[in-house]
Amino acid sequence: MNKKGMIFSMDALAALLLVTIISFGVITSINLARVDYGSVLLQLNAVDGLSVVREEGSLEGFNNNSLQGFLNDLPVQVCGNLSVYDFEDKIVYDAVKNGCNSVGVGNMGVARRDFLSGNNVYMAKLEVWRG
Amino acid sequence: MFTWLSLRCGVANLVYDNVKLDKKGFLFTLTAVLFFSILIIVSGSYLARNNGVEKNLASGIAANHIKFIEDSVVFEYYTKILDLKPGTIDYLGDGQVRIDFPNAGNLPTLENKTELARKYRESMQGSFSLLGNINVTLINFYPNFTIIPYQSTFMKEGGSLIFYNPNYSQLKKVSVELKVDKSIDDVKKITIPSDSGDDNNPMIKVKIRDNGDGGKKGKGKGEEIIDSEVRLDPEAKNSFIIDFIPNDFVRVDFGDFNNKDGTYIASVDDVVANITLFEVRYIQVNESVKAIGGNLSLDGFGFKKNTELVIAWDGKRKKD
Repeated sequence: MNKKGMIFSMDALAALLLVTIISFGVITSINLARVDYGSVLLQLNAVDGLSVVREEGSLEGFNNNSLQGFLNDLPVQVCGNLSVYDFEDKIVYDAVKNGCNSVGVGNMGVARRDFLSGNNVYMAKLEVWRG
Repeated sequence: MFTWLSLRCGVANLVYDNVKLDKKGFLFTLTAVLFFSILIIVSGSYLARNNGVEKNLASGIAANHIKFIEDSVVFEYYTKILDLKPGTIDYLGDGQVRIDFPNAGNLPTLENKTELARKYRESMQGSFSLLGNINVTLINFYPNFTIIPYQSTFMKEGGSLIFYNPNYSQLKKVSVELKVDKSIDDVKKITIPSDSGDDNNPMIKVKIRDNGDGGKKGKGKGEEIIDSEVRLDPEAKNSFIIDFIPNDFVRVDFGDFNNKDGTYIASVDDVVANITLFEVRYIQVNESVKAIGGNLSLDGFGFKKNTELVIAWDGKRKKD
């Protein structure tokens, strides 16, 4: 066996090992907080959507035409499910964007908001996902 | 890194001495090591930068969500629980501060708003906090607010608009205009308190119009039932009362009511009154004026925030 080749291989292996160890150390020393950009946009959609339906008044009156219209006007590739719960956590309103499955799949954006209607407190939940 | 390089060079020299390698191999190894070191440093800094961007993004999303919750609480409080929105706080230039309420709404308003505020607080602190993975705490969350520094407390509940003035010596004027759903023809009796004659007492102005389209001010204003402006003693019982047939009334009380001097109450019974104007004037003091309605505390998503529910604020105060 060629002694030079052996030494050369060992040297290369040692260098590679060292590089691997250092790389591993560098990568693990950084706390990786991976953000899924798709989920971020969905989350923002949910938050903005709930603000719109609350502040323009259709949520307070449980106006089905207006709420269903809002869901149907979501961007083409986005599905949405709007639910409203009463103070006892019973569901009092539920609507899904036309053409979407009632259960979201994959990454979802979810926003909740408590609101007052008459003398009662309700919680609205808007879930959005890519359809 | 340098320690390691020195060590490695020593080992390499030993090996090279033994096998009598030429110096080209050593140079090659050294170059390779330097190259990979640089690669690692560049990769590390890229990862760190990328990680920084993502952390900023994550923190931006969290801040956005916190703001959303804060706005939603303020919206419900402002529009539903108070139903009496202070508009602008003006320095009039004659040593007085005026606070107006352009959206004072109607009388009667919702009954038992104290209970409504309690239920909302319970829901926010309970199921909302649990499901949203955030701790929301509403402190001093009641259907009233206080004008600082005058310590006047305002509230609307049922058929009454009430405000208490423990420091009534600072109160200069209260004006209210109501448009009622009754006709001037249905008025049975009008009672107007007599002027106290004391210039130190606040001026109380009451104007009430009927439901018609008549009146000097044009369409929709209604016929004036009363338009009175008198100085009243805050320690006496003073009342403007408009009785309608059969037994309905609108009244404005000022003075010693609810066991507190300086109390102002506008109330209705079987009458719906739209508050078309409501404003209060105080003596100007050398402090910023604001309307405060409790505190909101949020703890979650890496944020901790405790904020006053500021209903109105004088902003940049005018110089005297």
